[in-house]
Amino acid sequence: MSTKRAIEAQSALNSIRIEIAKSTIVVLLIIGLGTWQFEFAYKSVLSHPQLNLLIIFTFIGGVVAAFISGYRLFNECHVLQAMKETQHDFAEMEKLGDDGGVTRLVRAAEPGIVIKPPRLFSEVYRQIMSELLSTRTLRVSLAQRTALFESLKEAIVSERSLTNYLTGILILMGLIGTFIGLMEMVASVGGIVGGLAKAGTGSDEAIKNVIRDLEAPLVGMATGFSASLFGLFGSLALGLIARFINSGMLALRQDFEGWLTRIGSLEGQGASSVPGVSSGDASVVTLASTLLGAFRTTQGLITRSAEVMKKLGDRQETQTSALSMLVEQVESLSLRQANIFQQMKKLDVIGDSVERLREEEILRDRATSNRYADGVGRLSQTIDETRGAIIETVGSVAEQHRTTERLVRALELQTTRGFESFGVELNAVKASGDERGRIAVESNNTLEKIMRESTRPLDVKTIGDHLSASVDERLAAGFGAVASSFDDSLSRLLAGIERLGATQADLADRLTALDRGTDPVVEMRAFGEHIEQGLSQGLGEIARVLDSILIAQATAQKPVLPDGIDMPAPVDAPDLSAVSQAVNEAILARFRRRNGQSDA
Amino acid sequence: MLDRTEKPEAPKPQPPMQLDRRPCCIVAELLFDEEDLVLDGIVRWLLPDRALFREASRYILDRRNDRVRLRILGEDHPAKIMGTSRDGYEISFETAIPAETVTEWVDRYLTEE
Repeated sequence: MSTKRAIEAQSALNSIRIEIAKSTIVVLLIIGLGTWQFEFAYKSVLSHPQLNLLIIFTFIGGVVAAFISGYRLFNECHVLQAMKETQHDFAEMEKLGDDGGVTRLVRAAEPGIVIKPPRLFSEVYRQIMSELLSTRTLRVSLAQRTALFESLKEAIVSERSLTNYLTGILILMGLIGTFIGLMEMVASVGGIVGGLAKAGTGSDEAIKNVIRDLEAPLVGMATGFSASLFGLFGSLALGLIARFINSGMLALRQDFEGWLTRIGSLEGQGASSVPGVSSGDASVVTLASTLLGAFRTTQGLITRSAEVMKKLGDRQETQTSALSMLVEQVESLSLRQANIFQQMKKLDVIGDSVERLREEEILRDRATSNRYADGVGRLSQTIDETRGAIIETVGSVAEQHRTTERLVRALELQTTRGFESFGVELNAVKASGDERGRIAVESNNTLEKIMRESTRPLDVKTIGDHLSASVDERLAAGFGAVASSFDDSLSRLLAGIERLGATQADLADRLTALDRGTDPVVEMRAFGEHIEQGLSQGLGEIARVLDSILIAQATAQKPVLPDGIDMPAPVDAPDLSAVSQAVNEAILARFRRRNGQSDA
Repeated sequence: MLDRTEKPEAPKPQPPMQLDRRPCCIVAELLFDEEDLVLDGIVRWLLPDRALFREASRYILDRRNDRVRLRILGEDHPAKIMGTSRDGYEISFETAIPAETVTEWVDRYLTEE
């Protein structure tokens, strides 16, 4: 195997050497021809030195480029040999079970061959060596093989493009020289024609001029011919050399393609030769081995496809489970979305309710404020009325006091008059009899006693002072009770307002937590009723306080008289208890009516 | 009598530990992280800061200034290829290997004295 591989390598190298030798021969022939016809070539160059030298140097440059390209083929051949050797080493290691690569490492003891980075096999070398060094085997599919071939072909075309371009450039420069010569010739024809007209006179000078003018078209023709000669010759020679180099490239390419094709066959066969087969059947064996290799490759592909399908099946199971989970998630999401829609609808309803509540609250707040203002006004009015009633009561008490004074004076007058009538009767009795003297004396004593008793003056001032003090005390107590009741009422009112504020804050919190299932309208209404009840209780307490005040005043109206003295009924004294009860009932009726309206 | 013109001899600084390039045969691998390649071969000589790696192939691709890792006895040493010759890749370590370790390895895998 190694011998065969060495022979193949040698054949590729020999092919390249042969092609380069052919090119060298062509170059030598050209040099020999130039040496042989040096004078002709020299004169041709001198006919238009710039253009001809440019053509010659272009040709030389093309030849050098072609030889460089040919010389690089040796490096490419070494690169190909490196790939072959690496593949062979790994195949032998696998075959011999030499995992450590001892046979391969032995080669490291000898000096190697340094190869430059390849130009033709750059992509091929990278892919194949990467595959070989990473997997220690080379499995190239048909598509990869075709891609590698195409890559190599493109690299060869690219490498060959410079010489092909220079070949075309040489032809172009030759044509340019031809055209230049023709133009020079055509331009000189006019002068020649004019010289011929003058030569018709037969003068020697005219004939000399015509002969001198004939040199110009000849020089132009020389320019054209020489440029065409150098251009065409150079193009042909360079094309020939490029063809030889191209042949070397083709030999290398065929070597590579044959090797890569054999790899597939060897992978299928596992052996390089079939014993017992005659050489006449070699082509059949090769074809069979190729087919077998293709079959093995296909089998490998099918095996890989089966593995891939198995992995795909596993992945599909995973995907199925994932899809089922996804479907469940989507269902749960749809349910959640439906719930969200319902919640949003509820939120809309709640928002509407809150809006209505807000409006109702505003209205209720305004109504409550109005009610507060009305209640306070009425309370002030009631207080004023109560104050008026108290003043009237005080007036009536004063009037009673005055009436009492009048009664005392009337009683004194009546007593005086009684005493006078008693004196008259006693004088009559004294005049009527002595028998009755003792009785009269006794009666007189009795009368004197009665008189002493009767003439004892009544302490009306003290009674009036007592009455006034009592009235003042009661009034002070009543006003204190009223003030304290007002203070209590105000404190309760403030407490109720604070509770209202706290309840409103609670209501705001409850409105913020909209996700509750309760109806905020009902809560607000209950809260309003609660406020109404609180206010009603507070006002009822105020009314009761006022009632107690009025009762205290009514009690204070009755003066305390000494025993044995009948107090006449007051002349214009109003019935304060009845008034108080009426006021109280009126207030209660108002509150009840108000509560009834609020309840409604 | 002492010669006053004679200067006292200054103590000479101790030279750094110089190791010779003794040929050895240490199986190693050269890893090219950028190209995802692993070349198997042998370290032909080893110094604390340099080494010569010979690829196990007859053909050696010319490389220069490539960042590599030299895996010697399971240890990776980042390095750079300084040049390529027929004997292999001469590489320079980014971090020098301790001289004792180098000596130990070379003594263990010494091929010829």
